[in-house]
Amino acid sequence: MSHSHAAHDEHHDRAPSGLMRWVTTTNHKDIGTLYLSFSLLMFFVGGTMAMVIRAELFQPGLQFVDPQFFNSMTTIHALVMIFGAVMPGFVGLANWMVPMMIGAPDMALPRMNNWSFWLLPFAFILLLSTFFMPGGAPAGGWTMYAPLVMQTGDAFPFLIFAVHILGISSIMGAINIIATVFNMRAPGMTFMKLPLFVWTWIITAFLLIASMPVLAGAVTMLLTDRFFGTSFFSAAGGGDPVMYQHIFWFFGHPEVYIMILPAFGVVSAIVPTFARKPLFGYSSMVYATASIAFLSFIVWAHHMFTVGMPLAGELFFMYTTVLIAVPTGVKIFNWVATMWKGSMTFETPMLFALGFIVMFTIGGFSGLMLGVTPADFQYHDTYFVVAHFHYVLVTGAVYSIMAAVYFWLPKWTGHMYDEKLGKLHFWLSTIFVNVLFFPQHFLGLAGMPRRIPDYNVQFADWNMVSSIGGFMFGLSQLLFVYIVIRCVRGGQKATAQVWEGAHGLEWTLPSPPPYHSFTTPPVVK
Amino acid sequence: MPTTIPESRQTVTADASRRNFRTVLVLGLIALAVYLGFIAMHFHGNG
Ligand SMILES: [Cu+2]
Repeated sequence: MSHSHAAHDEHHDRAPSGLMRWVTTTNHKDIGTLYLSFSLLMFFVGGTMAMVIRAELFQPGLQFVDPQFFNSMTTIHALVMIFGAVMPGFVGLANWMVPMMIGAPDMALPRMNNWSFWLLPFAFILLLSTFFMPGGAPAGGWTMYAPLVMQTGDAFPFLIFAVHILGISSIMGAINIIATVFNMRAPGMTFMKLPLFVWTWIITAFLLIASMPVLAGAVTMLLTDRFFGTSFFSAAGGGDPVMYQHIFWFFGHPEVYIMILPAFGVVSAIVPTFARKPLFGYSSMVYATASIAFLSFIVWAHHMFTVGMPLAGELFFMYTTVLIAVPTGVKIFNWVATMWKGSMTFETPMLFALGFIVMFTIGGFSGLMLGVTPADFQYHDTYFVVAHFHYVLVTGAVYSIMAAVYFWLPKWTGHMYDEKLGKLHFWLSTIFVNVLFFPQHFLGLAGMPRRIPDYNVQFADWNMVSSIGGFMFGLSQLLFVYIVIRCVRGGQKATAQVWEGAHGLEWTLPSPPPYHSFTTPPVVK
Repeated sequence: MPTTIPESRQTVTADASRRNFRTVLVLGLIALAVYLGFIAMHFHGNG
């Protein structure tokens, strides 16, 4: 590209400055940054609610908040973390990395990309404003089960509308990613040459398109039940409350894979880089991801073993659930085999990726335990479930986002982050996240129910330990913010390749990359 | 030289743009069908 053309591009693209640059941007890197910043903000909003929960549970008895508010905390903590922190975090990573990884100049639909992002702040303003409404914020749990959710006060339609907007945003984001990967790949970049992160994101995008409309449908039916005289979920009018749970979890289980498949992609990018070996079993990784996605649609009722189903149903959902361990095991095996006899080094991204492999597997195993029907009757609705999904989502999904940020931050900013502080962040997080969540297994097995502000004195010790872990884990994340801000501001210059073992198109671009990633498509051999 | 061509059009060829439109249309209709389908299939007996 000629110099004058480049100068023109700069002039045209960066025309609006300040706030308007971010409001009107159609650039995949700007939008990626917006998503990631929003995700970080929501991580702290949801984290603050978690601190309230752990403060109340520090001792038995009621100390800080009334039970209604406590229930709002657990409900909104979950909605904020799932739809505000984890999902936008992965969409931000996709926005930044997918065009660079496939050799495209930008996302396929840049203006839709802008709209997908800017819906999010409005959805969360709606959702969080409910704290100031008569009846308080929604408190019936993030699953919004009928008929309990019908007790929500004025917040009810705001909750439904917020979920609708979040769904529209996710569906548009997913369509954009599919259009980008299907239509914008560089010449020679065939599907089986795509980096695993791109593969896992395509499959995630299809999961989103298939499952988010189901959630939208479920909450629409709640809305019409409440305001327009239908009785989809009201037994009094001939409807069925359990049907709500079926519909919700038909969305809900694919949703957990929406939050973990991109994490698999991140780990599949990091492990080969720091083991300095190509990924072991690339094609089996692709097929395993697709298998997990398929199975995710036929396991939903494992969340409902105790509602009363025919024995055949209980058995079917138990078998399909434990079957997911097979493709997941393939992935864990492949990551370990990639490291086998590699020249490994342990920079911060690799530490988080290794932490992911070990601790996500712990969450996977407790998931298997919960998937066994007769055992689930014991564990159901206890803190064992809370321990399980926090291992999967915090030391799983969130750890992979942390790993990805450390891995790609030098590429995004052109500066290296402080490696010593990064390692410190990893070790503080890893110690305290286990202090926080591991004792919750014991509490659950001893019979402590979830979603309660008060508990029997026999649970006091481990709750106190868990709360201390929670406060320290929360504090450790301030270090992360400090490291990121310092890296954005300056630091040692990063090379194009950044990491010695890094391979792929994104590492052929300078750090930071130009505003349009590839204006002339690279040719992939 | 100031230009009114949107950024998206500078980097996406007309051909790719048509394919992108078709992709959005197909996937968007699938999402809409799933949404309406799930509501419709639970309508019976709800008078
Ligand atoms: Cu599930």
